Amino acid sequence: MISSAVYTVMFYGLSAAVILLAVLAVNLRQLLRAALALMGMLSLSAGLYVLLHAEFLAGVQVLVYIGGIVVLIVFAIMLTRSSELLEDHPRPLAQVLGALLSMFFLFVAALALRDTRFPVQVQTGPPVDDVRQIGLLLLDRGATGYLVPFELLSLLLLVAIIGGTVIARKVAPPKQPFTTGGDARGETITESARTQRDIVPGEGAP
Amino acid sequence: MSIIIPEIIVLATAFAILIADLFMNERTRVYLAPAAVAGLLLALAVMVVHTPASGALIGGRFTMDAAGWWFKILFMISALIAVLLSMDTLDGRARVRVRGMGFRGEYYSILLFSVVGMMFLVSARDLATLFVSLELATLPLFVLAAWRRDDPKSGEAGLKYVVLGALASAFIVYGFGILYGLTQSTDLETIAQRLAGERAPAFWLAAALVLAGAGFKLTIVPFHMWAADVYQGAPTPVTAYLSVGSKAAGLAFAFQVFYRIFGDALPHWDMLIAIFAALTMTLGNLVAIVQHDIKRFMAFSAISQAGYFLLGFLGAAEEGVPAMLFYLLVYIFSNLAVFACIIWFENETGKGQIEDYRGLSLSNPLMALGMTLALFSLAGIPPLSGFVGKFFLFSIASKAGFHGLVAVAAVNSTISLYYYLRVVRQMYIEPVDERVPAPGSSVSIGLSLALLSVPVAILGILPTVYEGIHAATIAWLASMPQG
Amino acid sequence: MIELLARHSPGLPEWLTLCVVLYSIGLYGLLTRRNAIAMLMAVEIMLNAAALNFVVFDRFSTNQQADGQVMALFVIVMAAAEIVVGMAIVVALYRMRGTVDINQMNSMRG
Repeated sequence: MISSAVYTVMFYGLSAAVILLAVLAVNLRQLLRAALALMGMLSLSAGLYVLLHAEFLAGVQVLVYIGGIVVLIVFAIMLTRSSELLEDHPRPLAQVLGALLSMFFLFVAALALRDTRFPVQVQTGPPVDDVRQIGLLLLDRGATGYLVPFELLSLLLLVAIIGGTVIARKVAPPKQPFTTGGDARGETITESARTQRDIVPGEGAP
Repeated sequence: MSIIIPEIIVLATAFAILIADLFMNERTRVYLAPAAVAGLLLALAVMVVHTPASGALIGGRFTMDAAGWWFKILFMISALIAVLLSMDTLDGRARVRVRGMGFRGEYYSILLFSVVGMMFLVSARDLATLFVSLELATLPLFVLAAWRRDDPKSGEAGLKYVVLGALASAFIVYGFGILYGLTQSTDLETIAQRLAGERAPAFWLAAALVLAGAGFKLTIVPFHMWAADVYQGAPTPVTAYLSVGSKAAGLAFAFQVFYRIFGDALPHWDMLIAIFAALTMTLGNLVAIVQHDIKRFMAFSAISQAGYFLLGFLGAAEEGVPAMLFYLLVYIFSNLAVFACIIWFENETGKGQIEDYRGLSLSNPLMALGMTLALFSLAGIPPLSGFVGKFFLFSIASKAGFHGLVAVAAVNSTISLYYYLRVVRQMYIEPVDERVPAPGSSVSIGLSLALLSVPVAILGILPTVYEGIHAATIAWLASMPQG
Repeated sequence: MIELLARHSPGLPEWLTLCVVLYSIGLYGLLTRRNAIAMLMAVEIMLNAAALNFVVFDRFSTNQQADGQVMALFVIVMAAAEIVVGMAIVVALYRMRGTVDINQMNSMRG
């Protein structure tokens, strides 16, 4: 009984904090502060995962969301000095409209979820080792496994890495190693359609 | 085992290009595009010759069926043509050089990764594969849209596309979560069985979320915002690819969702689909009329075409599926043919306004002819393939009892004829005031235009292709789980 | 007091409500923010809510088969991939234009 009381307190406490931080994250004018609120919100969500006995996911949440995503966002904010830019333009109309629309969604969705009887299963048996179970599912080649999406996910990350590096690179001046012809600044119109030949041999060699 | 070989070939090509790029210099990187083309041709050949039309692998988590076979062929053809169309721009062969389009190895491999994602999308039989492969199909498109690093428009297109894409994923994932809660399963067949007859409020919420996500991918009207900006800002060869590739992937996703998950509720959504279809084609058409930039013009044309696709979901699947697949085929060929001309023209002159096409029929009659043919096909002029495709779709809507919708669609076709003719008028009728310099020619673009024009012209007359798709669909439907 | 708390221990409806509230907050942020980074942050909140939703159902509706946890894992990684690309574009775009305000981005009109 004590444990279930603690569970209740933890749930409502964490939920209130998470919701508050989420509201802050979408409302704060200083983007850096908003990112901090996001970070707090995501780490407390990890606490929610622990409450749900998903300890592995809680770890992943901390590693990926806080260690990866939020850090990336903070970097982007600082590199672009976005925090200064946001403060100039409050848009009351958009805020009212956005609030109305999202309240409408919340209302409808919450009603729909409340009025649906989801099949609930009481936990039976001893708790399973989640990490082991997840690992088995991810590499299972059978009818219940997730081998295909797991492999596809690695491709997805590869694409993100390649794309991120290509796009975020500074436009390199010509004669830099590893650049390709399209990066060369200078003339837009060349006399010959065979500009390919103009490139000094060996220029792009590693 | 053989059903996954085409995917493996495309994937291996992507990795080979990525690694080979490291050891190449500027001059030898020219061979990357032919390598990509060769890989795709090989995969296509294996697909056509060797692959059975059905089968399952990995415990049924990767399956092949007749409709999937057609989708995969179409994905690979789109990518093949997209590579051919990108070559000149990326290799610097364009007379007016596009700056900031570098990194050829990464470009082609990312493009191929996107094809792999699309191919797995049609083979997916569980929620996880479905959304991960959808993401793998579209994330490369965000990257490619932002590829030009010295053009803010390209970055802007990429950024808007990322925000939209992430929003669409958020819708789809939340919808999937509710479906998982309703059925305790991630397997599509099990979900469909357990959802049969399910009319709980949460079911509607999940359906709405997932369909909104699909609407983003297909550019259906309330979800079309920024699509035009993305099309206009992206590098033109990328626009060509995403105008057909992302639409095909969106349709494949819609197929999976409509026929595999919600197959049993689909007939009840007729009215809604009809309204969205009418809105999409009308708005796309009306806005397209006033456009001056040819890429933006093609964007709105693509939006209105998405409306026609929706008509196919109205009737029985036996007729809707082959009609949509056939129209997708026609749309891909016609749209890519138009883009072949746009890319060629941009490479030669650096211009992209509709008015710039004035006098093209004099300076390069073949290109003008190809573009005219493709535009007429998009407008649906008999006897071109576009007409036949539209005819099938319209007859489905009319059989389903939506005569008003058919009237709207017919009016829209007429409007579209007007604006497609605007381009043709510039090329053929408008007086030429200055002497037009004779633009050069390009092997790869000329080849792809030739390859595309033939089916655009004859697909409508030859009944075999449509009959093939139709027969395949019957087999496909017979294999479908009855919810 | 403890008895009262124990009796009101949260079940599936409370957890689902939490998810949908978080999701709506993200939606609100997406609709009102105009800075691209802030918009992507709002989408992250939505995706986080969706991932949580999977785990909630995994805990309550199935007998610990961990399917929902795997799905949540996929969602988290997918969100990371999207952010990587998004932030790369943001940085590149800022270098070119000096702004990441998405409403000021209207360089393209017909």
